[in-house]
Parts: sequence; structure tokens; C-alpha cells
Amino acid sequence: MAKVIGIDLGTTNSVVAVMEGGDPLVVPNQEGSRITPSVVAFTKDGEILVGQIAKRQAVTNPENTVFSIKRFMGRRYDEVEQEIKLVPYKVVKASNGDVRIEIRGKQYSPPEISGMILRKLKEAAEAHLGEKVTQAVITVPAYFNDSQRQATKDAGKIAGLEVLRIVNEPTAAALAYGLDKKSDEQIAVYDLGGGTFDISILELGQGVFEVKATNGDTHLGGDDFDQRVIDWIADEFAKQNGIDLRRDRMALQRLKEAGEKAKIELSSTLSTEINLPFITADATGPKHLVMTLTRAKLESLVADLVERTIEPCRKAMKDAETTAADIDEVILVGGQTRMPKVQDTVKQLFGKEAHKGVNPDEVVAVGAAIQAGVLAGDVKNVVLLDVTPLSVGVETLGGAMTVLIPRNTTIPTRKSEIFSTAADNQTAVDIHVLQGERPLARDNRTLGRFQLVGIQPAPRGVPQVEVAFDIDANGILNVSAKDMATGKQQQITITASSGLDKAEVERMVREAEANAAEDARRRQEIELRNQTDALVYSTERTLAEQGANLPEPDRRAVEQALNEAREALKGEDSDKIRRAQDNLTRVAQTLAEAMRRQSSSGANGGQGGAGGSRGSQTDDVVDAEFKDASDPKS
Amino acid sequence: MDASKIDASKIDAGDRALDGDEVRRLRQALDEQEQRGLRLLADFDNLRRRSVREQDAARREGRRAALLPLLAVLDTLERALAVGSIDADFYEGMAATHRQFMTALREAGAEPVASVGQPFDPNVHEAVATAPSESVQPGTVVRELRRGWRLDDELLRPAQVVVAEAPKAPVAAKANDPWR
Repeated sequence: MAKVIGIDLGTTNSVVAVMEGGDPLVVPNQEGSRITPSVVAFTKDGEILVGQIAKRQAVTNPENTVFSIKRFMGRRYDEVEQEIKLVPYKVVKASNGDVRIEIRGKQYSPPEISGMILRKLKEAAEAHLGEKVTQAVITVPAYFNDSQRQATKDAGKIAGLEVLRIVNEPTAAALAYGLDKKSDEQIAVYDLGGGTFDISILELGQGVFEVKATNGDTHLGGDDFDQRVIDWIADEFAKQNGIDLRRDRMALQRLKEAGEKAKIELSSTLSTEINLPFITADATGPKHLVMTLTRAKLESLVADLVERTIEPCRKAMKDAETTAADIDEVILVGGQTRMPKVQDTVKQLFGKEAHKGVNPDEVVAVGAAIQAGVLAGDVKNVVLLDVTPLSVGVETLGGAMTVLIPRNTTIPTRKSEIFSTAADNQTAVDIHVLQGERPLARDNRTLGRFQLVGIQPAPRGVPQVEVAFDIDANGILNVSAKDMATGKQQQITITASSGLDKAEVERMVREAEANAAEDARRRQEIELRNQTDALVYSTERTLAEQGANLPEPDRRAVEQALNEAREALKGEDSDKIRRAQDNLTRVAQTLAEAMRRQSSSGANGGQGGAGGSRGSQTDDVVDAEFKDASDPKS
Repeated sequence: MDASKIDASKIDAGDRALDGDEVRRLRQALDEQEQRGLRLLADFDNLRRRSVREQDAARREGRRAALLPLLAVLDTLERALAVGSIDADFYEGMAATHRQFMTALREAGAEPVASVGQPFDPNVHEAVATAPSESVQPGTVVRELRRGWRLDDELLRPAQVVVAEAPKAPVAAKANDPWR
């Protein structure tokens, strides 16, 4: 199945993405960059350069380096006379009134230039995927008219791409956030890119997006923000040193880089140092530029730029006949929206937090790739591997939940564990199947329970019961319990695990997080109780076997400690249980010593002694052993 | 008990004669499974190959990310040396430090990009300005503002350069310069 790529063909930069294994992935270009400048250059040797390389040579070749071609796509010459004044390359009128770019005496249509950018992105995708790409989804601004959209399609054709669909940029951004799954919503998409600002109000019906209104400023973007920072640094430096760095090519270059870096840093810090030693020199010697720019200062430098985005937003809402209160979702697009001041302004304007998470430079391309994936029918071709939304396990001694299959495990999966009995001569075990994230059985959801009966009488901890959980590809859970001694087996099939809706799963996970501290404390209590219980059990047994060898006072002390421990276990007082356990551990020491004396005085070593059995007590009786299912029983 | 039930049903199915429709259906189901299995294998194979490539890229990206910020420090050191010092011993020490820095970068796999006197090449050079020149061919790099570096066969950062142009053409930055 051939891949369909998604392309954000931007005014300053372009991005290509593709669906892979069900996830959108931004494809880096041949130079390793995820973003390709929308620049095409024609060298005197007849070579065509695209992207970063074209940008690097622009200064040497301004008349033959084409940027912002998007501003001319599908436009008539008469419509764009203002734009023409802003570019150093030659724009002419074709006989039919369309725009042509004249390079070294040859005329190119805007779709041809855009096609060169698209071709580079196509080749990048092919290199990455290792296969030919022939189809694409390309995004355009929501306000593009038919002729602009047609020109974009033509550009695709010229690049050897069949354009399966032209998608509006704001719609692509909404797709990237999965908003198409909702319905009857109004969405505001605020797009502040490198050189343009667009606001779009979308209405989402039954999976269909409709553009209600658009507005914006075709010459407002991150580049203007950078310029403000550069001017501030240069002005400050001129004030201190009387030198205008803007006149020094080399200094200006460093200033630009430092200015952009400072701007970016101030999105995550409150203050940054601009440090450019040896920036210039005069008769008195070298000059260093060291200054601090705070976020507050930066915000004051660009306040009017941010302000300029507000009015278009208001107008767009008015045109869409809606109000901020009726806007359900806000999406931010474009690198400049990383600035906290911009985010605050948007929040104030619409009265709600914007969606975050997808890289604002890539969100449009990601949405295009998702649309491309749908058109390619990728979803059908992928073997969908699901995961379990919640952990499943069984209840063990003391009301604890022992997880067999943790949440987010990819299914189908199978897991088994060996358990044992909790009491002497126990002939049946209860298998209580649970689902949830809490450590205590009673806080989780019961999926089912059953009994395995007919276990041969034996001391506790001796019988081996293998409990196996098996979740098939459809999410159906099979639980079986098998007595390893007799081969007796019992099982249950549970389909209910697939019946949980997303909200319920989220609630259960949230509750587990909220109660983590309390749950941990209770889990410790259960462990303490289980340990004490096991200690009582083993001490009782040792006392029964070795009691006769113990001096009367010692024996009475052990018995008394045992009674105390049994008494404490009846109650809920953890401290009391802990004290009783400590005391019992101490007096049981005398028992162990008695046994050692006994064994060293000739009687063939005993059975390893009480000390030995105490060592295994912390393992407790229920999950006595942890064995792989394939292990033969001992 | 359950197990015996399953066995019985299996035997049951085995005994029954299969009609043509069922054979076709089963064959088709088998085909689909085989296709799916093959596709999965292919996907896995591709993934494995790509993961090797990506690991390699990630390693390079890691070295790149570590080296790149250091280059700015070297730039400053070079500017300081260009200014010079009246204290000869101090200057000598700084010059030695500079050589040490260059050696360290070379040991890490980085190599400077040749620029002055070379024909301008946008693959490794970034033109910051043009300047008229009588002595060299137009399109030749006449000055290096910032040294460029290569890491193995990849460009770490381009050299920022001034490029010669024919002497008669207007010089200096244009008033309307979109390449801020």
C-alpha cells in the first residue's frame, strides 16, 4: 500500500509528515532538518537550490532567490502590487494577467516555484520511507479562494504528486488534536507564524469542519518580534558606547542570532543574559556586549505586536456571529505562540486555555498526515494492537491485589504465576479476579470469582496453584487456576473488561493516583499483618516440635508472645501488631538457640531451625513462589 | 472437565466432512492470515533496519548538540586573539589555549570548513554580505566572519562569509533586505 504524505506548504517554511504505524511522524529533510525554508534559488550555473541552502546564498543572488511565493499563488498581477514591492526578485504580468516570476530571462509561474519546494519534500519522504511517493494532502490557509487552491493543486502535479485533497490549515490543526471526533463545537485557531497572522473560526458538525470566518494580518509574525529585540539590544549598546552595531555586518549577524536566541529562551525563563564579547572595537579598545533582558522587558518591547492580533480575532468572531463564550476549543499554531504573553492574550480573549502538546511549528503538517492516512486507508491495513486499559490481577492474603497483567500491556498476552494456600489443610482456593490500579482488592472492580476445590490437605504454603491470565486480541480475558499436584483445573471467561468506557478508565486511573499515599500505607499494613501472621504460624510449628527442649520460663515467654500477637492480629491497630511482632521475633530467638544447642549436641542438625523458616516468612504464604508457567512443578 | 469439552468439539469438527464453501472460506481466511503475517514481518524488518539508522542519527545528533554551543566560545576566543594584547606572555598563553581548543575539536571529529579563496558554496557557506573585489573572481569568498565546521561528513554549521562581486555593482546592504 503506497503511502500518502501530508504537506504544510507555508509562506516562510514548509513541513512534511506521514503516518507510520498509526502515528503521524514529521519527516526530516536531506539536511536533517524537520523544517524546510520555502525558498528556491536559481544559480548562474543553472542549478536550482531549495530550502536552507537556497537561503544561505540569497545575499549573493537576491534577484534569483524566490521566497514568500505563497503570497503570489493563484493571484492576478493587479491584486498583488503591494506584495511585489516587498520582494527583490522580478515579478511580471503574464499575457492572461497572472503573476510570473522572471529569473534570468525565463518566466516561471508560482505553482512551478512551489512545485520545486514540494518536490524536495517529496524526495525527503521517499528517502525516509524507502519507497516512491505519488500522492499527497496539502494544506492552504482557510481564506484561499478557488484559484489559489487550484494553483496549489497544480504545484503538486508539477512535483509529481497527485493531490488527493486540499485541506484548510486550521482544519488540519484541529485534526492533529483529534477534534474531529467531537461534534457541534466551535473552534478558534490562532496561527502566529514567522511572517503572517491568521485567525480562523471553525464549526464542527458531524465530523465535518466548516470555516465560519477568517481574519488576520498578512505581515505580522515572529520575524517582527525578533527585529524588536535586535533593535533594543543595538539601541542599548549605542547608548552606552556610541556605536551603532547595525552598521557593522559582522556584529549585526551576531546580534540577530543572539536576539532570536534570547527571545526563545524567555519563553521558558524570566531573564536571560545576552553575552557577545568582542562585539566591536574603537580607538579605546575592544567592546563587549553584555546585557540582561527580562521577560517583562521583552513583553513591553512587543506589546503592540501582540495587541495587533486581538482586533482580527474580535472581527472573526463577529463575522462568525459568535462570542468568546461560545468558542469550545482554542488551538495555537506557529512558533511565536510559544511566547507566554501570546498564550495569556489568547486565554484572556477566549476565556479558556488553548490546546497544547503538538509542536506548533508542525501541527498543521501532522494534521495533513492524519488526513492523508485516512485517505490512504492506512487504518485498515494496520494490524491494530490494542493495550489493556487497566491492570488485572487476583486478590491475595490480607485483601491485597496482586497484578498479573499491568495496564498498558499490549495484547494478546498471557501471564501466569504460582500461588499457594493461606492455612493448613486448606482444600479450596478462591480466585477473585480484579481490575484496577489500587493496591487493595476492595477498591478495585470485581470482574469475576470462582473456586478451585479438591486440593489435597497439606501445610499452608505447600500446595501449588497456577493462576493464568490470558487476554486475546479482542480483549477477552480468560482466567484459569490449576492445582499442580492433581492437575485439577477451573476457569472463567470475562468479556466485561471491554465494556469500560474511556471516562471510567480515566476515573479509575485518576483515583489510583489521588489515593497513592493512603494506599501505600494500607498496603504496608497488610504486609505487616501478613508477616506477623506467618511468624505466628512458623513459631507455633517450631514450638510444637522443639518446645520440649526449652526451659519452662522460656517456653512460657514464647507462648505469651504468641498470644499477644494473635490478639493483636484480631484488631486493626498497626502499632500494636508491630510491637507484638517485634516481641515475638525477640523471644523466638530463644527457641532458635535452643534448637541450635540441640543440634550441636549430636541430634543430626534438626531441620534448619526456626531461624531458617523465619527467613522465608516475609515471602508470606499466598504468593509463596514466583515461577514461570513453563517450569515443571518441583 | 472444561478441557475435555474442548477436545470433544475438536474431534467433532475433524470428523465432519467439509463442504466446498467452507473450504473456500477457510482457505481465504488462511490467505488473509498469511498476508497479514508477511506484512507484519516486513514491517518488523523495515523497523529494525530503520532503528539502526535512527540510532546512528541519534548518536550523531548527540555529538552535534554537544559540540555546537562550544563553537561560539571558540569564536569569542578567536576575536579576542584578533584584538591582541600588549602583554606578550599572556597573548602567547591565549594563543596556546586556542590551539588546544582546535585540537580538542578535531579529536572529537570536527573539521573546519575551508572558505577564504574558495568559490562560494551554499552547501557549506552562508553569505552574509557581498563586497566588490578587483583581485579575485566574483563568487569567491573574500572574508570569513565566522568559521564553519563539519562533523564527519555532515555540516555542523556553515561558515559565514563575505562573497566577492563584480566591482561595478552597488555595494553594501540593500535598504530593503528581507534576510534579516
